[in-house]
Amino acid sequence: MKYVEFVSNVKTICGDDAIACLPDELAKYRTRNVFLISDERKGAWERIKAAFSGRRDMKIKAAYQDNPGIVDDKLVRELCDIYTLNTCDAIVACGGSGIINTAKLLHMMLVTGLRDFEGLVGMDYAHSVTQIPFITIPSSVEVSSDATKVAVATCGGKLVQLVSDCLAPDCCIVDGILAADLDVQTLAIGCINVLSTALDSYTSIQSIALTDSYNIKAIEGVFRCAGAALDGDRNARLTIAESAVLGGIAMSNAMIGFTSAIAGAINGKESRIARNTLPALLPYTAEYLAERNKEKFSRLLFYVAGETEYIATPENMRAEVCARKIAELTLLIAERAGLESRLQNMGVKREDFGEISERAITSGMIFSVPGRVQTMEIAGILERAY
Amino acid sequence: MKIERRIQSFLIKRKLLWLYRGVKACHEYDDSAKKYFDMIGDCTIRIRVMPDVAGIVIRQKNGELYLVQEDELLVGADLDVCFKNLAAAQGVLRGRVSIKQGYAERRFVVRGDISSMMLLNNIVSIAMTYILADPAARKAYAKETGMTGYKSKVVKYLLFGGREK
Repeated sequence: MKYVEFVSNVKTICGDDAIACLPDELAKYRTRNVFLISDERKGAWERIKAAFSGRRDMKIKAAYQDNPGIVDDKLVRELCDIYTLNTCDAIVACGGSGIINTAKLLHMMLVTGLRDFEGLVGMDYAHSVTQIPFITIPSSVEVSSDATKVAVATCGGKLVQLVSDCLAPDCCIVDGILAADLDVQTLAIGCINVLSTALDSYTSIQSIALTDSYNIKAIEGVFRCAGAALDGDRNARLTIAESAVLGGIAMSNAMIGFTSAIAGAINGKESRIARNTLPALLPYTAEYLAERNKEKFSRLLFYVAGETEYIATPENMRAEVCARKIAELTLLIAERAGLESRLQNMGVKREDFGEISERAITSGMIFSVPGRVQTMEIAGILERAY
Repeated sequence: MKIERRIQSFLIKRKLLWLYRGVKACHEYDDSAKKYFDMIGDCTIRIRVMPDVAGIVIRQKNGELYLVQEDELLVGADLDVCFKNLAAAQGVLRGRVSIKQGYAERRFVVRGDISSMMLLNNIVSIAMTYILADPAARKAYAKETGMTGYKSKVVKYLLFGGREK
């Protein structure tokens, strides 16, 4: 029998004005002094402060407000000192991937008691010795930031990936008002990011029935609601945000793969995924993945196209049709949001394709792709996306 | 420790040393493996089995690869691969479970850069095509690494050892 491990211990709260329940959530942990980490989105910051006003049992004792982009070990150590100095007993992070990554790493450092950042880098290596309540409030639709146990940071100038249960928050609050405030481009990139991550994780060697169900729901959510969400429909936007959480939980367990590896390699030495390249890459990587995972893509067609079309499509064509549907939706989202969908318009040079392919094939993300991936296959995809 | 477990631990340690011999042979005579080692650069790699089985420590310095005694390891290895238990290690070292599959099933934990782990996987996969006893497993690894044929020099090194530099 196949041996599997699946972790999902994040409480998820979704809904309009879900931020209001933040103090109540913290009260369950008998929190008194909260350390708030947030980016510079004024609306979110003020709503969190409003939620705490009138509470006598707890307060925001310390706060950090910035948008750090890629997190470095120095910043995390500084935040660690602020946390300790102010005798805080809980962490709340509200913002995009940069802020939530920072908070995750701070949480990890505090619960493991390790100040040496290098000691934390790795996969499932670090263990917590204490518990600190940690709540995230994602303000954008990004799979990697919400409820995952994965983080990236720079350590001594080098970008490193961390995978550990200590990184996962205790609770993730998906607020409808924050999702409604997102601009169309951020939302569109978010939708494509959810699609690409969910597809990577759906076809990963680490995928199991549990992760598949999360991924399918995430993909279905994007297919069902992307159009309405771009039109400004609040419920649709909340569904997209929920899909990002679902995709994140699945990605935590099944990891990311092919598309993310190429998007990461395009970013050069900073192998952080270049999200803006996803609209160009996804139509072709989806086709590649469908070719290699025919059975899974055939099943997926039922969720992306509906029962009628699934039945009407011949069995041997289903995977191909599914990949085509994904490509069409990706291009539609990109077009509606005014995103670039060709690599040449994003500053990627054709002469770098060899280097990018080489980098992608040796990146940690490709570990999850079943079978052998060849550099010329990646170069072929880059050529088509150019 | 029960005698049965002691025997198992002893056998695993032998297997790890055999793996080192394979990796060393590939480092010397296989271009692809050498390329991956160059990409990793100077580093110390420890492969061990939890909780009580001693592992091996491999160090690459200035393009040379050698085995280091665990006692000599003053600070932690750059890349530390820990199999969670004996059963997990046996599956992978016997070739019944591929390294990728082992990773997918979380049979081991890794401390260090995950990208280096990917490169180490490629190196060990190449070494596995030479050192495994099971022909089917060897074939599966050869398919994964895209190997087209055996290099006689690697086999010769494995069987008779090589000139120590």
